[in-house]
Parts: sequence; C-alpha cells; structure tokens
Amino acid sequence: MKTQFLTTSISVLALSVGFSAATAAQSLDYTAMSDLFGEPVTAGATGAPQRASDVPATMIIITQGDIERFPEYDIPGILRHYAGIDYNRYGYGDGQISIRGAATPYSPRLLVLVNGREVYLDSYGYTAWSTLPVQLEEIQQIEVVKGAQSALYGFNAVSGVVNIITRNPQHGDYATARVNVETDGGFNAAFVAARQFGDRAAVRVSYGNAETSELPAGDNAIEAQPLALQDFHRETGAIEGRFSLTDKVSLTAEATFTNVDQSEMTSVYSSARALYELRSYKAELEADTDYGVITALAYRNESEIAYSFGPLSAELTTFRIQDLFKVGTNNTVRIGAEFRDGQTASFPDPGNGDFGYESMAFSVMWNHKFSNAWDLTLAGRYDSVDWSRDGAPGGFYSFTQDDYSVSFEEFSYNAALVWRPSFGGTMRFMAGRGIQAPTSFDIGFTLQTTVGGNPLILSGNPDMVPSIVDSYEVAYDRSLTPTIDMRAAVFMQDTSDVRGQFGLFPDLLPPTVTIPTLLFDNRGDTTTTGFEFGLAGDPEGNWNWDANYTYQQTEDDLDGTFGLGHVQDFENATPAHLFNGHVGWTGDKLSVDGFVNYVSETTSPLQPVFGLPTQVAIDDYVAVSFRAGYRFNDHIAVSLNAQNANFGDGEATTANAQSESRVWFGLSSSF
Amino acid sequence: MSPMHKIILPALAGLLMTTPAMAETTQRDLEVIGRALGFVEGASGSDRTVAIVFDPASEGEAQALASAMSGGLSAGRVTLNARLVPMADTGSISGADAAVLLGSAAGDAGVFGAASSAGVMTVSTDMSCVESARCVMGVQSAPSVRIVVNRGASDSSSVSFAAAFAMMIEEI
Repeated sequence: MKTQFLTTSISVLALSVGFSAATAAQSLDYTAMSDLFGEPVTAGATGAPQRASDVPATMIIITQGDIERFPEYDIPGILRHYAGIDYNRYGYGDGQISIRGAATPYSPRLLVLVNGREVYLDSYGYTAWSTLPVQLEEIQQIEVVKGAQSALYGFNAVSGVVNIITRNPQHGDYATARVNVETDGGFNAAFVAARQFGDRAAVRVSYGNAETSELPAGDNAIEAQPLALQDFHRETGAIEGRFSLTDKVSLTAEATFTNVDQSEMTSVYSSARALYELRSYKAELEADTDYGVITALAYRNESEIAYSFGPLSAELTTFRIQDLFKVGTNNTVRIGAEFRDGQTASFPDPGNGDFGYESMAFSVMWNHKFSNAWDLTLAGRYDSVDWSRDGAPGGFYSFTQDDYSVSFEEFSYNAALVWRPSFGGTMRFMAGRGIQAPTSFDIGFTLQTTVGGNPLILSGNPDMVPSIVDSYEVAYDRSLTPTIDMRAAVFMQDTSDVRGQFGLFPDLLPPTVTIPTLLFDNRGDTTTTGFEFGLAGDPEGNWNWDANYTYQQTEDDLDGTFGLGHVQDFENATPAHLFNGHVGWTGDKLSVDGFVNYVSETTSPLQPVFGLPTQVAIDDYVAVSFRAGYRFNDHIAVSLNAQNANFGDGEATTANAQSESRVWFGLSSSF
Repeated sequence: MSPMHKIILPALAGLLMTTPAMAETTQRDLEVIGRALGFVEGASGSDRTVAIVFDPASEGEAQALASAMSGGLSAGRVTLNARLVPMADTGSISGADAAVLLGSAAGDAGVFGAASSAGVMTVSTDMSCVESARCVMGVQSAPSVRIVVNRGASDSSSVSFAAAFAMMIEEI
C-alpha cells in the first residue's frame, strides 16, 4: 500500500530541461526558462525552480544583460543600485554589502554563495568580495533574497542571501577576453570560456587579474593613510567540469583559487591591510530518481589570511544532501541534511590550541498551492553545533580548554503566504527567524598585545550565544501599465544578542584575571524598520529606466557605552534614505546608461589607532556614474566607464576611505 | 528570433485576429507553445513535428499556422514543422510530437482519444480543453504566460515533461 502511494502520488522532479536527454539532465537552463516565461527564473527562494513572480520572498534577480550595463568593476558596486541594499566602500576591493541595515566593516549578516558553495569567510562570517573567484562575464545571474533565510540556507543568512550563478557550460560554448584600463594606469583583465565535449561533458574556465591604486584614506583614518599608497592586487581562477554520467545522473566538479592584497576596514573599525590566499574544491552529484531529485554536495574551503593582527589558517568542509520532490499536483517538498566541520589553527597567537566546530543540521521545506491565487511556503531547520579546542590557551587567558567545549542547538523557520488578488499583482506576507552563529573569531580568538605600553589580552568568548534575527515583511508587486512595473515592501528586522566586539574598557580585570582582557561578546539588541518602493519602465523604443527609494530606521539597545563597552553604532551608521535612479538608451550598436545614487548622512565609528575609538560624521552624498558601450560586431566591443564621475579626487563615503572618480576604458572580445 | 519569423509572425497574428475561434492564437501564444514543446521528454534531436488539427471553420487559421512553420519554425532550441490534419482524419496525428488543436477539435473526445492513444501531446489555447482533460496542455500568453497541464490527460497520453518545467507551471 505504501509503495503504491509512492509510485502513484509522487511525481519526480528533476532540475532539468529536456531539449536533449543526454545533455545536462540535471541543470536548470535559466536562459531557456526565462525566454519561455518572459521573466527571470530562480531556484534561490525555496530550492525549487520558480518563476520570479511566484517566489515567496522579496528577491532581486540581476541578469548578465543587466551586469553588462553597469559602470562597476565588482559585485558590491552593482548591488548598490538596488532597493534595500546598504553599501559602503572601505577600500578599492573592500566593498561591503548589507541588506536593510548598516553595511558595517566585515559585515557578517549576509550569506554569499557561488553555485551553492559558501564564499563568505566562515572564520568571521564576512564576505571579502574581491576574493570571489568569479569574473563578471561568466555570471548567469545574481540573486538577492532579502530577509532572514536561515531555514533554507543555514547560518549567516540573517539579513539576506546573495546567490551568484555562473553560466552552465553545458548550455552553450562561449569565450570572452576583457581588459579594463583605468586612466591612472590600473588594469582589470578577465578571461572566461566554456566548451562542450560531446553530449556528456563540458568545461568552464575563468581567470582574472587586476592591479590598481587604492582609494584615498579618510581624513581621520590615520592608519589608512600609508595603506592607501599601496596598490590593490587580485588574481583569481576557476575550473569547472560538468559531466552527464547517465541520462539521470550528473556530476559537477570545481576548483578555484584566489590571491588578493588589499586595504580594508576591520570589524573594530580600524584600518588594515590583508592578504588573502583562498582555495576551494567542490563536487556535486545529482540523480533523478523515482523518489525525487537527490543532490549530494561536498566542498572544502581553505583560507590562509595574513591580517594586520596575525595570520589565520582555516578550513571548512561541508557535506550536504537533499531530496526535492512533488507530492500530488500542488505540493513541493524539499528535505535536507548538512554536516559542517570548521577548523582554525590557534589564532592569531600560535600555541594556544587549534579549535573548531562540528555541526549537523536537518531541514524541510513545503510549498502548497491552495489555488492560483494563494500558496503557502513553510520551511524549518534544526542546527546542532559542538565547539572544542585541542589545547589549553596560555596561563594569562581567562578560559580553560574545557571551557571551549560548548554546544548549542537552534531552530530557524521561514513562512510566506503569497496572494495574487483579482485586482492584480502579487502580495507576499513573510516571517522568518534567522540564526547568526558565533564564529571562530568570536569563540577562539587569542591575542596578547600592548596598548600604550600596558599589556592587554583580546580574547574570544566561548560563552557567546547565537544572535537571533526575527524578520517580518509585507510586499506588493504589480504592473501599473504594460510598460511600468512597481515593487513595494514594508519590513522589520529585529536582532537580539548582537555579535559584537570589545570597546576600550576591559571586560575582565585583575584580580579576576592577570592581564586586563577584552572579550568578544553579545552586546544587546538592534532593530531596523522601513519600506522600499521602486518603479521600472521599459517603454517601446530605445529607452528604459528605473528608480527606487528605501527608508530605514535603526534603533539600538546595546549593552554599555559606545567606545567603552563596544564600538558598534548601527543606529547612526544606517542611512535613513537611499535613492537610486537609472536611465538607459539602447541602439543597434551603441548603448548608454546613466546612474545616480543618493545616500543620506551617517555617523561611523572609527579607531584611527587601536584603543582610541571615536565617531566620524559622513555627509550625505550623490554619486553619478555613466557607461557608454559600442559593439562593432559579434566579436568586438568597447566601453567607456565613469564611476562616481562627480567625486573628483575623493568624497568621504566611509570613515576609512574616500571614494573617488574612476574612469576606465574596456575592450572585450568574444569568440 | 530570425528576421523571417519577425516578419511572418506578426503577419500571422494579424491574420489570426480575423479568424473566428474559440480561443484565438496570437503570435506570443505560438512562441510559448513552441518553447513549451521543447520541454516534452522523450523526443530526440531538435526537430518536432506538430500536427495542426482543425475543423472546417478553423481551416484558415490552420493554414496560417502551417505557413508560419513552413521550412521550420525555430522556437527556443527546437524547430517546429507542421502537418495539417483535418479533424475527420485523426489517424494522421500518429507520429507527430504534438498536436495543436484548433476550433472544435479542442475538446473533441475523438481527437483527444486518437492523439493520446498515439502518445501525442495535445495543446490548445482554449483553456477549457485542458480543464476538461481533452488536452494535455493549455497555453495562454497574455497578460502573462500561463501554462496548465492536465496530469490525467498527460498520463493517458504517456507524455511527461522535464521536471523543472513541471514545477513552474500549473498542474491540475
């Protein structure tokens, strides 16, 4: 009886398109699907393929066609043009992104993925965007999911998720070489290529190399001034093979490397230079079975980072398995399990015992269509994490080896009700509970230093607990006319037990400890509320335009006084008003785009030298950027890009660095 | 879309607008039907033969469709070739990859029975056809793309779809 139910009621789902059974049975063909439905498609909201208009989340989908039009050299620069995106440029390669809240240095609230592999740095939970081993030309689309998404994605997906998807080599050969040359002599070069070998194998390779001057230092950023005189350097590469083992089973294997040398701002608002050497290895097996599409994923991220305060050597190994299937005609179910092993060598001081964690998670997602007008998505995830240290810190530290044997268990959820009313458009009601887990820095950091000649210990804190982010949102999208679309959302994100850093005053003093100790710790609560409103027009003819506005208000309830107890100030670091506008013109060979960004005034923390926290007022600013592209034929194209054209030699947009006008000429050849 | 089709399809759409039909097929409908056929499993290669099943009242519409597909109509990654089939000659449906049902052929039990017994996917822009399980697929292209598949009809026709496609459409 049970067998009969399974065979008659479960329809198997494969992330496939059936143009050729022998070709890539398991991969979603974004281009073909988008052409069919006349809108972008994604698997980023629930793990199941969906049309953009159906997803139970507020999403931004940025296609390759969109990316080509921006006068930007990296992904944070592109994202800043969209509603609800907070952006700060702390260095040429250190653009930080947050969703609906201050884009703090080493912003740890965002989960970033490339083809399902986490590329944020698990050791602290931030994304060093310049280290992503992806060239803009090989991106199929960038998906931004706003709000807490831990139930689907796991840790760190507390303010949102950025999912970067590269072009599938099994869906067509391509090759592009591109070089951007800046007016000051800097360059940024990339090569991407994909080729199919018969019906069952395809390979994608990419390589990028960039060297250019750093941004000018902020007026008060004393330690940033010598760093600004050095050059930014980035070299990345990736190779991916996709193989159809049978018509129903496919294998993807990928290896990447990154070397980056850049100026940046740390989580305690101090200026620093960092050298990143990252490696990754990934394998993914997908099988279209009678019981659903079963996906097994394994990857390993290796990080060697030379921070100003010491070297970090960390490894993250992840195994994930999931099954996606449909029950009847109206139910889609995804079940999954994930094991993670994160290990860090004693950091930054050596000899205090390597440390790390093992975690196990189980998740389930259920989508039910009540009718064409209503559908419901529920997702839940249970995480269990165990930390340990394999050696005792030195005698001056306040925690024993056993103190590091800590565990926590957390449950996260997402719920979304989607309504397509008869008067038009789509309304979404969403709630979520996200988990921001303590990281290696938070738990195991050990550094003995001196400040003003006095000994001081900076220490992780195994007593830290996960931050919990509760998010609520109501969104409404609709077409106002056949050529004008509207998007609007009202949101609230409440974070309790914020992961925070130390201030000037030690958390532990003699005689409790031998040396005054500053601790990583939970530092209270913060809440951001606001709304977004956007319009996009694509009238007949050559013109298109879009504009969006975001209002956000952050209220902190942090423990202690700024500077003494902590160096966080989300309330004043979050701009209340964000406006972005764009007008584009497209001809047969020529395209021209103009962009404007407005960010209202903020106040940013800064430690011009460690131990002297202060705050710096950042005036509101308007950035104007242009791009003109000309395509001679199918093979050769050129572009002239002016980023922040009105900034001249420098405009203070953060406390660490000034953004300046950058102009570059681009030449690309496709063959 | 090829330059030829940019010319042919608007002309075809204009022609069809003058043809009385239960559900008029527009240029966009044709594009959607063609691309959707690319997601039917089992067919090899990129060529698809489409039987255009018509009643006497829709013969003009059928001729226009066949004309648009003469020489092969490229839709996504498949190429459509037409075969005109009068409603009284349902035996000629066999061997086609799909049957587009026009006029009273959409909803006719005999037509659907002949197509399903031959394992041919039936499609119509008349949604009542798929709702009554006399078509496997119903297609609507405006104001937004809507594709409905009748699972009972597809099972009886031994027709299956790529699963990602099945997730993004309505199944009844």
